[in-house]
Amino acid sequence: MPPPDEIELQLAELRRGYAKQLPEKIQRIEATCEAFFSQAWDEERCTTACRSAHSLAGSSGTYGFGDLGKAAKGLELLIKASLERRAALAPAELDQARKGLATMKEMAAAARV
Amino acid sequence: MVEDEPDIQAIARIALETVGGFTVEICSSGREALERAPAYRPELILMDVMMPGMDGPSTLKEMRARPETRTIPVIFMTAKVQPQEVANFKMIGALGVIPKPFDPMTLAATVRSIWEKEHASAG
Repeated sequence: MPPPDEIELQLAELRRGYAKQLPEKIQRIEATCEAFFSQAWDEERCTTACRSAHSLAGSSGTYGFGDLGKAAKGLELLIKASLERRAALAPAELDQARKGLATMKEMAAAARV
Repeated sequence: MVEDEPDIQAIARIALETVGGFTVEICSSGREALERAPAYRPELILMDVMMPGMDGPSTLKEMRARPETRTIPVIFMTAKVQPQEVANFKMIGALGVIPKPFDPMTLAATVRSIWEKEHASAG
């Protein structure tokens, strides 16, 4: 096994690359979510939006951005509930989802390693 | 390892190969794993649960139904770690469950611990 410092350097390099890509990742999630939010309920759009939030929720925590992971998980759960009941988000849920996305954008812009 | 998310693939490779000393082959889908496992013959598979197309549990069930992959141990990686969820994964044949997100510095040790526990109970 390489020395711990070397492993830390490799991980830090990976995290820096991930952090740099975060604004673009959130932008893509926002696009898939808005495509879902702004049209009549559709299973495929709902699944795509849910999956995009799920991916970020899983990866950001592993890359050391735990708060962003929690925010993405919150968004995923809102969309998953919509998927389970096969109905659009209620206005209050939609508001919550959009606020979550705004928070995620702020976190992504501030992400540093 | 079976994982569709490239970011997780990248960090897990460092966690398992560099930190843990494992030799790692990555498949991006359950279908790919089913195709490649018979020739590659992995000693162990670390598998994501929620993947597009064929998810982890479906892939495991299919592996268990095929003679050439029936005995390969599978550990799931997932955010679904409520006791009932973990029990369900074990009931369909998973060796263990590793929570997501994971710590890249301890992932390999966790995998090894689950694996060795199984060896100990089998031997």
